[in-house]
Amino acid sequence: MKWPLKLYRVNGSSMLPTYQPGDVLITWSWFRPRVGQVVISSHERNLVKRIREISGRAVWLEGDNRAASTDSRQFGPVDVKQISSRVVARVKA
Amino acid sequence: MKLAKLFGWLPVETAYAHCDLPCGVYDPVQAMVEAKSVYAITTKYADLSGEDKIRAILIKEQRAELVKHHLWVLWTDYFKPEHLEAHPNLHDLFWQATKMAGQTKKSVDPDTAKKLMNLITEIIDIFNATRK
Repeated sequence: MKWPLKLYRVNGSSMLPTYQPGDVLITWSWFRPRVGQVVISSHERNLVKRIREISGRAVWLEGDNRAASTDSRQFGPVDVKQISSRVVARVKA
Repeated sequence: MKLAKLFGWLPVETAYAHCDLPCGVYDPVQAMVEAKSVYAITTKYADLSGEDKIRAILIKEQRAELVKHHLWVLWTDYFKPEHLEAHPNLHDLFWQATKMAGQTKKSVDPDTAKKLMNLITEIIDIFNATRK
């Protein structure tokens, strides 16, 4: 069984003003995805985005800073199995 | 010492929260520079002769293609749905501008190149409005 707690450092500004570059995010992987949660989507690389919509297994992700975010508006919804963990706390940069 | 630095000795992965390209690298001025080059060639074309005429046509076509490229990058990568909501003529403007860039390939009329520059100016205005 994988240890559910994992740390990530934010790279980029698409989650401003919620999280800024350099912030350390404490994430937890035992959870059920819900709209509004900020999650880590792990596919080719780890992305941090907010869940805007869930339809079956399709999860729509967007950055809080919509003008500077590449997200589901470009790459479409992601499969729920790509959502690896949920942000539960942040340590400011 | 900042608290976040204390995590330096713990395994911390990177979580990406950015555009595929930092938005700062987008600039419609790139398209305008190439359009000005097309315009300059059309104004000099009549005075050229022989191989210079052929060379001018080839360079004009390359520059016009670069105009299209820079406009497509802006259109598809920079502009977002909320920009379209605020500027409903955006799609039509890009369509007209890229079509006009095509027109400048088969024309040596400076007026055609001027029209292209005017359309790019409109795109620059919208781009600047989205950056405020």
